[in-house]
Amino acid sequence: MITEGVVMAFLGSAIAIGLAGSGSGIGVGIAGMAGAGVMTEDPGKFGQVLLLQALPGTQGIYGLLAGFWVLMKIGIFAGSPVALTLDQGWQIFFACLPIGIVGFFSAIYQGKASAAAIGLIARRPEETGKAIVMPAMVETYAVLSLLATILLLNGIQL
Amino acid sequence: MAVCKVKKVNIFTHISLKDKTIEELQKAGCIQIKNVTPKLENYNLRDYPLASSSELDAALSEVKYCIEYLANYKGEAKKTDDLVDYSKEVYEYDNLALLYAQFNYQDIYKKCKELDSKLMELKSRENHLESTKEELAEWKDLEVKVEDLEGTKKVNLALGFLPVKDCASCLEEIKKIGEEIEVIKFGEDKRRSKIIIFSIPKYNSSLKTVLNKYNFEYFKFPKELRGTPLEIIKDIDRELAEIGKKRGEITKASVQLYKNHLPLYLAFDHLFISKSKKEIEKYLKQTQRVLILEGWVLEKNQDSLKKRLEEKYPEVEISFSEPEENEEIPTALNNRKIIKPFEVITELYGIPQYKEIDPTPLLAPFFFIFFGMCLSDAGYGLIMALLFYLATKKIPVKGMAKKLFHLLILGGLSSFLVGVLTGSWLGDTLNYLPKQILWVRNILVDKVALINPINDPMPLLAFSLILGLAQIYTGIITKLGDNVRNNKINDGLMDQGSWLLLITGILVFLVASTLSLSKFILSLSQYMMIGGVVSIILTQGRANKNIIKRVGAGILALYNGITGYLSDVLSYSRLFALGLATSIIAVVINTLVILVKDVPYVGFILVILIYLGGHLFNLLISALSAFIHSARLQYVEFFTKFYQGGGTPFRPFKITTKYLDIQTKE
Repeated sequence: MITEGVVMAFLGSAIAIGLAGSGSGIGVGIAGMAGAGVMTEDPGKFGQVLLLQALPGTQGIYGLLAGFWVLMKIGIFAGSPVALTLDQGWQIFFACLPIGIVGFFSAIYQGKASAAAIGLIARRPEETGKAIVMPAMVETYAVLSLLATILLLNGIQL
Repeated sequence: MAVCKVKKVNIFTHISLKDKTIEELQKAGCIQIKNVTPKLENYNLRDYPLASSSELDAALSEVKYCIEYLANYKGEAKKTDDLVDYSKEVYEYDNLALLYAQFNYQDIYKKCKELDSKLMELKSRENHLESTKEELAEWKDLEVKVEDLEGTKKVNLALGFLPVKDCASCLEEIKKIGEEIEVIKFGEDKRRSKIIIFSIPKYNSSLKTVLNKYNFEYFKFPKELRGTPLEIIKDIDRELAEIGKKRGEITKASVQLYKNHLPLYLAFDHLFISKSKKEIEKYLKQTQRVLILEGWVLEKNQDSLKKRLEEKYPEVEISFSEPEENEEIPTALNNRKIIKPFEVITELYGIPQYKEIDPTPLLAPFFFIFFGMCLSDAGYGLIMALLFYLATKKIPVKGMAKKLFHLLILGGLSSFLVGVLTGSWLGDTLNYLPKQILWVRNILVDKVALINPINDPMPLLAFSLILGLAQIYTGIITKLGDNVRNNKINDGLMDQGSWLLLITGILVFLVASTLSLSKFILSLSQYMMIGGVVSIILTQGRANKNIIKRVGAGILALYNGITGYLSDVLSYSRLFALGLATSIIAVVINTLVILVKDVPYVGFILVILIYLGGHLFNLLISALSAFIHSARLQYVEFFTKFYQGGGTPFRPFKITTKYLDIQTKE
């Protein structure tokens, strides 16, 4: 049965998937622009550039994961959703905020760090390992917010 | 300590033995040659006079040119007959020079050059013809020979284009100039009209003004053409066909030449080796008759090198000495076979300086567990381990790539173990097994697996943090040991000892108060904490002379340290989060598969596409993050406690080739 609570849960799921996904889109785009620039000089760096471009893409996956978990938790795939109270709906909504918000911003900044790292391997290809660590530092906060979302969702009693 | 001991080696040889000695050293392949450090002043040591290597360079670039030119015909050559893959054959070092001498690469070079320049000529002729053809195509309806369009003494002729929109008004104006002008509009396309104008010389200037005003584009047929445009086009087509034929001949000849590429490879590698020997000469020093050479050698190779040189050339004197303190000594790592793959992680960060300890054996067990926890699926782990195992069998990889492949095999095994313990087999795939074999699931998930992190996440989160604590302890204790080893016991006790005391105190206190252990342990832990705090405040500012500044710096260090260690430990929660992410994405994929299962007609195809594609994607993304984050934990949380890195790698002078495998008679 679709209650107000279920609607709130949908909103939460949409925010997790939508915001984090948008952030990843922007981040991967930024890194991609830098990568395309580097490859005009040296198309042989495609592998390394692609690896660095993929790094800001994980936030979108984390968002999708959180959003899906909400949908599974309220039983969308099992047939009809659980009749959530408004309270429960709000709880789920708030639980989705960490990965939505942090995913959005961290993906953009990870994209910028990736772009800079792509510039680094353009000049010093032997330092690919270090170049990958820089954007990965940004990812830490996306992982932590995913952790928060998971723990919050896990704590909600239906 | 897994950093190899390095000795300095000095070799003295007679000048006439120079080439032979260098060759022997290259075959031995265990010396990194460096500049000679003069021990005695006024000893009259001179630089070895460098011979010009331009001849060698020229030959090398010529051979390279041939190889690159012929490489364009590799595909063509493969089509016609089966070529032997020469790169897999092994050649004897001593035979190389002989083989090279027998083979005259100059001939091939000349032929390649000739073919290449012919090809260029054809190409430019072709371009020229094609652009002419394009121009002529616009006038192909003109049934006049182009040489007749020059005009005569009394009549001027102009061909060209006018923009369509101005055409009418332009023609109007031209008519106004005089009667002896005839304009023929010959045709038009969307943009411009083709015009031919006949006039007499007296109108030239006024006609020109009008035409310029309307942006008339003059057109002139190239002088050398004869015949009507249509005839010319036919001629051009004939010539183009001819060029195509000639090209085919060149290709054939090049393919024929390509079959000779093995000697070219031989020549290249021979020249490359010769060049590397030549490059060593810049490190040499000499007296009147004696040549001196200095380098680094690993202690374990010391005896075999001495024996080898002295047996072959008794005149050669070789001596070893301990490296001096202030010298930049290269580092070589030496780890047991099972640890070796983890050197990749150390090398990515920067290998240790010669005096430092090698962190590889310390990080290996942690990295192994971390990678497994991040990927955390038995199915993925098995697939990855198998794929990379097959890859090492099929692809001949060397050096760093080989270690990386082995590391990924180990990572796969670790994920398999973690996956078995958490009951994750390609997500929850086992749940969807048909009824008859559902017992497999019951055994694997209900009996074998210890916990299910999706339903019960807390134990795994706690385990991640405990792993973090363990690694941070390892780091601090390693640094303490390092300080003791370098006779800095005081520093060790103050910097690491006081923190160990404080952290242990806090831990014991937490454990004791949650498990409500005896009062004694509780108060002991409190004393440990107080002792730790006091000692940190008193010692951490010891660089300051002023007592107040000293205490201030100590308090600051206490604050920074506590927040630092806390965030370090919390950082390990990523292990749990990434592991859970892998499992949940896998579950999501399986859920999607169940959703599309009942789609009419294409349901089965969708199931296969989503299942295979989804899990492959998840494996890729999760393995990538597993690697990056496991490495990051080493670099940022672990290495900062005790490790610096930044050593220079040991690079011995040896036989390096690009195409062939070279062996030496042993």
